[in-house]
Amino acid sequence: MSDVVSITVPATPGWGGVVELVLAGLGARLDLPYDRIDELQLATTTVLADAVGPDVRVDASSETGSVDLRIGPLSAAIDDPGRRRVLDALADSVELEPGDGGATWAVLTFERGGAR
Amino acid sequence: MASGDQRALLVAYLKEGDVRARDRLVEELMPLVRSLANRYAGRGEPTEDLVQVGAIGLVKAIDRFELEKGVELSTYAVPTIVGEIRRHFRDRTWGVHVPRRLKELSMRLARTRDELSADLGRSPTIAELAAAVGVDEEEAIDALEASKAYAPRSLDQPYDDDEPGRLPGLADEERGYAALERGSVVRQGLDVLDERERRIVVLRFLRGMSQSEIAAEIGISQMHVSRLLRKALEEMRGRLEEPEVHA
Repeated sequence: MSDVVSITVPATPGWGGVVELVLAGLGARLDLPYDRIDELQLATTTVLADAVGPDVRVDASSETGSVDLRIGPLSAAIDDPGRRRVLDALADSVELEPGDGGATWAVLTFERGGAR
Repeated sequence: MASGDQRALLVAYLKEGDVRARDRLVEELMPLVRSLANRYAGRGEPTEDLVQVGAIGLVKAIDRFELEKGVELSTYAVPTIVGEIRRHFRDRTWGVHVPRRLKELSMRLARTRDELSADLGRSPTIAELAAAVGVDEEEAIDALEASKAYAPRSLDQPYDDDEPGRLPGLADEERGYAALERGSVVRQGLDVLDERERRIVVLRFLRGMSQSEIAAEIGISQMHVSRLLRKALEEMRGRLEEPEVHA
């Protein structure tokens, strides 16, 4: 069985903390350093702000030894250069994928040691 | 100061509006404020911040003092000063209600995290943190998450004692940043940040320094860097979204 956690929350302010709590638990199970967990949470919160409702889903997996997050659906604002700069600094890789209805999904990868 | 002198100053201020008399009273009673602030030292807030907050309580007590009540000003002022310090802890440092046990645990974890980071040369895992303070991992996660409700204090305070209100090296960082990002969305967002937040954002997202490195460079804890980064990103986002809101 692979380590995959999925959580769907309303795409409204206030639910980010719930997602962060889940990610903290996942990070603890994977024995990630706390600063990596913190940045994983910070990146997720940044992405969640661009969610287009009514719900947003976060799929977290660790099959490859790293933590991969797939988050969406998101608005096109996620591709803003400022957002990308922030996410690129926090995650080891950031990819945007097209989803249903013209929405965007973000795929973030965090290596154990981490990007700087 | 004799109580008769205090009363004369109170009369001068409250009856005649002599502000210098109030200043004198504040000056004379600052040792009392410091003594009360010291009782709350070591709870995560700098004592000097508590002294400043307590001084506000003292001024309020003087303003509200009723000459006809016949009590000493120092007696009257103590509950107001203490109340102001407590309010500071309640309003300024924890954004939501967090049980005392979690507050204390989060502070222990913050200290332990810094100590372990120094010892290990890397950020500790939650398992390591939990073991070091003698709690299970779930409790540690609870407390670490609760600590995010803790608001960074005194963000507008001067950072550098030698050059109040100005951060060392900031101008150079900003010039470099401007060269790279002039006119960009991030650049616009930086305008809403205070100097310390701006510096941290620049160091993290432009220079690629880790939170630990930033913490060491500017002399605050890694957890504090994390909180300031979150706050900065929220403020920048709020500013950037304004045009959309009003569109």
